[in-house]
Amino acid sequence: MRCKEAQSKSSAYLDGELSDEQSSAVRGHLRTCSACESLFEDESAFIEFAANLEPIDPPDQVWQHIAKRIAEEEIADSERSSWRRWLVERRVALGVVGASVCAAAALIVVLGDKGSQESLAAASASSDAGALMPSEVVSQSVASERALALSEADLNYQQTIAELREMLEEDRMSWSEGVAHAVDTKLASFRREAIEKRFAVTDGTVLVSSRDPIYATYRAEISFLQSALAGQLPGEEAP
Amino acid sequence: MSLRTSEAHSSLKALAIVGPKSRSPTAPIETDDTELVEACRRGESKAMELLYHRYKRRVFGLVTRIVGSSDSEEVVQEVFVRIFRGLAKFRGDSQLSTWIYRLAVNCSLSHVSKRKRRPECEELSEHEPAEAPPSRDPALSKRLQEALVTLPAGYRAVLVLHDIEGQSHEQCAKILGCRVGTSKSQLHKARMRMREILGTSLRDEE
Repeated sequence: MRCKEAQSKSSAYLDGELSDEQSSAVRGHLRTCSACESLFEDESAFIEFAANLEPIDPPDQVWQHIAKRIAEEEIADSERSSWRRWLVERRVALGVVGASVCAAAALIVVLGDKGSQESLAAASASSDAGALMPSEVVSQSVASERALALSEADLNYQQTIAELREMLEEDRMSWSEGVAHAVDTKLASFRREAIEKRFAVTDGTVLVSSRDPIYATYRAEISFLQSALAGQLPGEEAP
Repeated sequence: MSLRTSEAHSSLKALAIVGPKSRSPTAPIETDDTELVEACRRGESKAMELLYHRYKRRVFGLVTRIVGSSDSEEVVQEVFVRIFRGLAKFRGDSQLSTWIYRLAVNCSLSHVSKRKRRPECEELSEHEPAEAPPSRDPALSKRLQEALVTLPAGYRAVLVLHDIEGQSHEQCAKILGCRVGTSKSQLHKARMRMREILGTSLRDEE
């Protein structure tokens, strides 16, 4: 065994991870190479010192600060908007909520506040692919109203996604590197897909169904975000 | 057959070659964490305080050695707030300690990364006086802490988890979200760096 090979195995040797045969070969090299023996002794001394470091106690006031911050967070919870709290509660208690239900709830709350029944009807319809009108050309006056409602629907989908993303971001610290990578990849693909589909659709179109592909992407992303918030994360090892 | 004294001495010296270190895991066995977690989920403050005291030393030690003494209190607060806020999502697939360690490591690495992005605090950890935690040998402990802050944060994490906190490579891999082989190779590189920095000082003290 040469010095380079022996040194590459130093940690495995000192941690007792080598086979008997390999350990014997390393020991044999150390008996004949004082330079390597010295390096191994330095590493061994470090391991022993590190393992025997005394534990550190945090200052006494840390718990009080933590308890205070938790109380503040709970107060902030109580001040969250009702539909957001509804989402948070369900993400814990029920897990996945249907994407169309969520999107419709968000749209109803936002549009409902504006008191526009027509917009509400159009937007609610746009949140459910099954209720969308077929590729129907509507009259120009109705079309302009509908285009307005559709652009509001766009914004509301995007707002819902932005809020869900923000909530998911709070969970990031508890993810492994693999999960974080898988989530980021998935979210980037949704964003790319939505941009591509937006480019493919002419703004202000009178064809209601022409925005279906974009909304399908939004709904898929909302569904993914809700699943992730409920703990169903991609790239996670099976238990 | 009896050996002459000098031969016996020579023979014993030849046998006294550096060998594998035997160590027992330092982490206590988790017995009733499940009940404790349930009580914390219900918002019982006594249970939350108990969980804090059960894990405070492990979390504080880990965080202090990754982010340095000056920021450790702030990061530890963040870790425990995330623990209590995130317990609803802890499904028991892994040990509670592994989940807590993962949160602590991620918060610490995130803090180090954010600190490096702040120009006024760039490389703060390398210039700040490395305040050593209380130790039986404060001078050596200070040297170790100084050496630790010069390691890349990833190396620091695996070295602290394995060599100081006594976690196995399997646990390190779960905590760091990497393969066991990666944990082993990172630890080896980290130790090589520590050996270069510390030299023979630790051995000389023995």
